[in-house]
Amino acid sequence: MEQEILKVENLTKKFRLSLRQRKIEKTAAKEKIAVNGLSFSVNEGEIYGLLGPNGAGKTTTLRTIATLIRPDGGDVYVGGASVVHDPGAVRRQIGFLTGDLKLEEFFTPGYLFDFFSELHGIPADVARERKKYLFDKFGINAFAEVKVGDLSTGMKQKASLVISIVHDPKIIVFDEPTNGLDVLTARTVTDFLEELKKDKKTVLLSTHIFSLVEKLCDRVGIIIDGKMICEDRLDVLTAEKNLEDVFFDVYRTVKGDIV
Amino acid sequence: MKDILIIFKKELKRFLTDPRMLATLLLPGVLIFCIYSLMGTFFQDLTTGSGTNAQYVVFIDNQPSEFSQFNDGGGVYNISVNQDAALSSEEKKEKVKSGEAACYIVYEEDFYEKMTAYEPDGTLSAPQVEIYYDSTATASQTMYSYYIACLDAFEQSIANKFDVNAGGEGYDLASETELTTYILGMILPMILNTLLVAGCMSVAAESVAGEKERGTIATLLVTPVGRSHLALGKVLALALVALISAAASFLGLIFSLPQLLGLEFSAVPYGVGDYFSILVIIVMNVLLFTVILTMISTFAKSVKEANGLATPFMILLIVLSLMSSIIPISGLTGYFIPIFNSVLCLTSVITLSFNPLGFFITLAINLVLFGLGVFALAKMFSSEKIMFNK
Repeated sequence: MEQEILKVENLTKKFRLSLRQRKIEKTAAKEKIAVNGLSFSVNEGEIYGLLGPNGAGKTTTLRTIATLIRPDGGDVYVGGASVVHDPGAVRRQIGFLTGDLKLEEFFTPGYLFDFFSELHGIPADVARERKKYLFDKFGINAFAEVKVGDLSTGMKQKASLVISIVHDPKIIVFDEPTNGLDVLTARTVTDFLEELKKDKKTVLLSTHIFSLVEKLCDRVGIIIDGKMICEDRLDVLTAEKNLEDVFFDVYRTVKGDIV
Repeated sequence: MKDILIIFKKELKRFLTDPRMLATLLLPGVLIFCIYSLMGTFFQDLTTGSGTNAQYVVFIDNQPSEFSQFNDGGGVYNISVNQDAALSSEEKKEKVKSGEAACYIVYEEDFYEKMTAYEPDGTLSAPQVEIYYDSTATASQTMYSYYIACLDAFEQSIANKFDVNAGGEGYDLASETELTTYILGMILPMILNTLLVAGCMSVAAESVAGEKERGTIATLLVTPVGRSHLALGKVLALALVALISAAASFLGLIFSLPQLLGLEFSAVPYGVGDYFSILVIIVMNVLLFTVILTMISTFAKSVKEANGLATPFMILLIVLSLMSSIIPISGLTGYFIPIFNSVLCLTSVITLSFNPLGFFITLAINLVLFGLGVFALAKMFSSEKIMFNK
């Protein structure tokens, strides 16, 4: 039986709307439900793709999993640890990377790798070996001692990716990792994800890029308005249509025609 | 012209419709209103004596009965006249110096008769009034000014028929060193605190607001490190950096003291204990300023906003530093007011009137506040609204 690494259970998250936001959203409601009773799970060694339009609740879900925000209802378990009751244990088991997470430009990738290793409590000798392995594997050595501020966007992204898995996490969560990147840098991310797939790593990936999901993911969940609308194995979902068509069919069913 | 108006309107819209920016713009005004109102109340209390109902003890020798109306304090001051002949004039001066009496006024014997007989063009010398006071004590300075004003007004009405303190020197009972340290006590805490807060601000604004602005803070928040540890680690590092700046300020202060006092280094009236006290106060201030400024930095969305929000704090600090030398707060009350207490401590050390109990109260209060600040900072680090406000 496949072991469940991540379990999202009836997750709910609301945000208070300011007067300005209410005006923009043309609503009188004081709260917005970003995630509404969402449940899904990710098994060990699996790459799970989370699809959804903007505002569907993907980023909120992933931020809750990463313990950056607290759920208002339900819970998330990573390796059995609850984000509500034991966020520290959750953080030890996940790697989290989004376009918003950046590295201090003053430091070098080498220094930052050591710094984050220490923060994760990794013994020095283990960290040294892991650094050598990851820097060799992803070609960081050439710029390991160059300040992040002096690196190209692609190099920065590579360094960020490697540092997000410094502690060899049980699950790696990527929130639109190629968002805003040029094609060459986006390729760095895609290659990195392929390496993770080869290594049988567990990954939760949120993206808008259907081709990336089709290439990498084992299972896919589509969320709209904070709810899980459709979830299945990729090969089942795409048995008759490509993923993009499947997505739009689901979207039309829930929201009506696309304007 | 139309283009200018378009740009003008756009700029105004930017500044006046952003609540945070508006708050940053208006906060100094609100603060100035509050502080000046407070200062006004204090000054009024000081001049009318109504706040403290202070009684001024004044020694007077040979006062003519015609002058006794001065002793009613003009309806403003509560004056208690002591005409005790048992005390020698030196003992009375000593009481003025020790603060037991506000001033000591000596009218020449048969003053009134001599005054009426005196003609400016004649051969008789003008009768004398001597007022001994201590310019470093607020009460003494107040009474001195009051009697001088009364006597001046009276003298003008009778065409210059007597002299007040005609002897020139020796009436101000404060020594030169006391006078110098008194002036130093008025300006040094303000200069030192301004330098300290500037040192703290330069690093604190960048520390959290800078990380939020660059998007690097979230990278730290997803590590297993507890938010309180993160907050404490940051504050202590910032405090250490600010302490380096403070140490430079401290050394600058120590080595500039002989020049400030106009003395040889060996003749400076401060001992090792005084220097140690100043150092402890500086360290305390740096810790407190750092935690306050880090909280401001955490609340702000950007370094620019952090600097803007820190400005009112800086104004408050400068005003509090000035107030300690202007407003007399009796007893230990002032030592319970944060920031103001460290200014009082610093002033007391510099003016050689160190109050050990006040010092320990200040130390305890500031350490408790530092702890509370770190706790609040940890809470702020856990707040989604504060950490992810964009």
